Amino acid sequence: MLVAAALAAVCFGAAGIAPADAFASLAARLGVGTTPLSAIEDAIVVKLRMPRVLAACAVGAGLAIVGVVMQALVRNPLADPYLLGVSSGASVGAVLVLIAGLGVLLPVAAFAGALLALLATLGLAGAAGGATPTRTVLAGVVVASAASALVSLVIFWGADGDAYREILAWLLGSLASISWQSALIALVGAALALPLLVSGRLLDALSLGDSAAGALGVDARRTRWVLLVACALVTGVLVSVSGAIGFIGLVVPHAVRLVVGSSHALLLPASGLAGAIVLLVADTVARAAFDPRELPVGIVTALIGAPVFAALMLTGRVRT
Amino acid sequence: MSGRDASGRETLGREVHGETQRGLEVRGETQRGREVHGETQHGLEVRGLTIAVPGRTLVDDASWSAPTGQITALVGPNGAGKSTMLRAIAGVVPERATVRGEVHLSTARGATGRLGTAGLDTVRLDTVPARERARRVALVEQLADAVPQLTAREAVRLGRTPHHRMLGFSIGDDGAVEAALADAGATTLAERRLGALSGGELQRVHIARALAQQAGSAPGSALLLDEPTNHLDVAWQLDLLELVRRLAADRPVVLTVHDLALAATHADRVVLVDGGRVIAAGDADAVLTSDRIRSVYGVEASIDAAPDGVAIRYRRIDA
Repeated sequence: MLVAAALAAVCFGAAGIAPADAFASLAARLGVGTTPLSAIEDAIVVKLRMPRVLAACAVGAGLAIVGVVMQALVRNPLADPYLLGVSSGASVGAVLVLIAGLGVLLPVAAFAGALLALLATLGLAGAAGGATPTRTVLAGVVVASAASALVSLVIFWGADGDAYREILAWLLGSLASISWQSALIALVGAALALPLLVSGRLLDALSLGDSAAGALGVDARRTRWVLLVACALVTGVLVSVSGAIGFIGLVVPHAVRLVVGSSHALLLPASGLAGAIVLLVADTVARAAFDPRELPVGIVTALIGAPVFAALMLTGRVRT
Repeated sequence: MSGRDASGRETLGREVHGETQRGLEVRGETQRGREVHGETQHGLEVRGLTIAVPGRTLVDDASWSAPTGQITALVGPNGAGKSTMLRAIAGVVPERATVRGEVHLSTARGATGRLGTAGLDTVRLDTVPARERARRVALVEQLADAVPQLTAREAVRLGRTPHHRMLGFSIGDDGAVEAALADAGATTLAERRLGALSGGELQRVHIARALAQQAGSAPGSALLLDEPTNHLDVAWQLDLLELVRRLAADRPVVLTVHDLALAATHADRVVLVDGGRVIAAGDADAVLTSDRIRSVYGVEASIDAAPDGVAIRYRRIDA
């Protein structure tokens, strides 16, 4: 299904390209046969759409996996990858460089902002007595709102015209400006998320509560600390490429949980796969639906995600 | 059965048909593989356990033992430190707590699981790594917080956690899980979701999880139950106690309970705790006297021991 969606995504768009041709073109790049496409079409497939497809898969998978881990770590169904204020911190960095007209530095600045926010959140939770679920959530809320205020301040103060549109697109989350370089960064982020896939047993144990986990030989405090940092790093890398795409990390885990159950050993990889498919489809819709204009994909995920989440709540399927 | 030895310390184990008993023993002095009438004793032993958080001592130099083959009941008023002790034995301590003392678990050497096996393996639970300890002591907590949409089988499988390597697999998991479900009488519940179980059924599943945690470990691993009869109706209480009695045959079982009559009727040994200190430990009828109940709980108790159980009536002490 992921492969089919990827192929479709490569083909859809302002320039229609037949699946077989796109496939042949990609094969030609790998040294098999020759491309039937013109040079322009070939460039569209290889230079524009392929990195974007890969980035969408990587970001979607990474966010969904991190979402599962976060929901288990803080035992809160509303947890998502941005809970620790990571995306808000990244926004501060991103907005600052966009306003300064230094767009090339965006991933670096965003990642730096994400790291600072992570340090602030964990520092606050730690100073308050340790990263228990409640403290972590509260510290994240504090840091996120402080960072959002900073973002608003900077925009209100300095943004105009193009910079404003650019900033808005980034804040909503967009894959429009993905190059091969940024796609590679996203893939690195997703690769960093892979070790999280084997944390299923630990998450299962933590879901019973800290002391039950302790009685099972799992050090809840240390485990939570390590996994929170890992999640924040993955999120920081992904967000630096895509901006803060919402709802993937929140809704996908819940939806997948309905299908595969709550056991994390299965939930983690299944959510990763589903996240990749969902973001890929959403991004293709964002790109193609309102042709020639393009929506930031964050709008599409939120437009789809909000009603889906509402439906899950109404049917009582969300764990509360 | 039990009494005082030459040094005036309480003799905690007892001989059954000339065979040794295994169990868990907690005492205030250093002595392992204690000899009882020339034979070794198996079980759990707590020695000088002290647990303090800043500004407060929760458990104060507590020493007691729980022999294999017996049910040991921890009783005492709310806040006496019963649960704190149980959790500490399982390696769970409050934040910023300091813990002193030793917890020894003695099991039959050679892991045959038979009573009377010569030789004794003693492990200091407070010094072994957490995973190792979790394979030897399982805790079923009061109001164990269940994830409602897990199935019973999934919940029991969580008990295998300390046996897992990083990738989350271990040989023999399925067998251990099914055996644990069967031993706890929970096989028919396996596919049900925890949220749909009654209190008594849920307690069985939690006990099955504890058994799965120990399967494949040395036999004689300790089972700790915090308020297992809480919120259960009388039929489920009897049902649970029957199960616990069966499980106690080859492991030390320690449970906390508020109902003194239930402790006196169903436990072999009673450890009375107050203010974090052990007030008395020994045979149920020797420990639970109306004098002690008056001094610990501040109520008058009249105790009626009948062949089919102990009844206790309480009333306020008149001013």
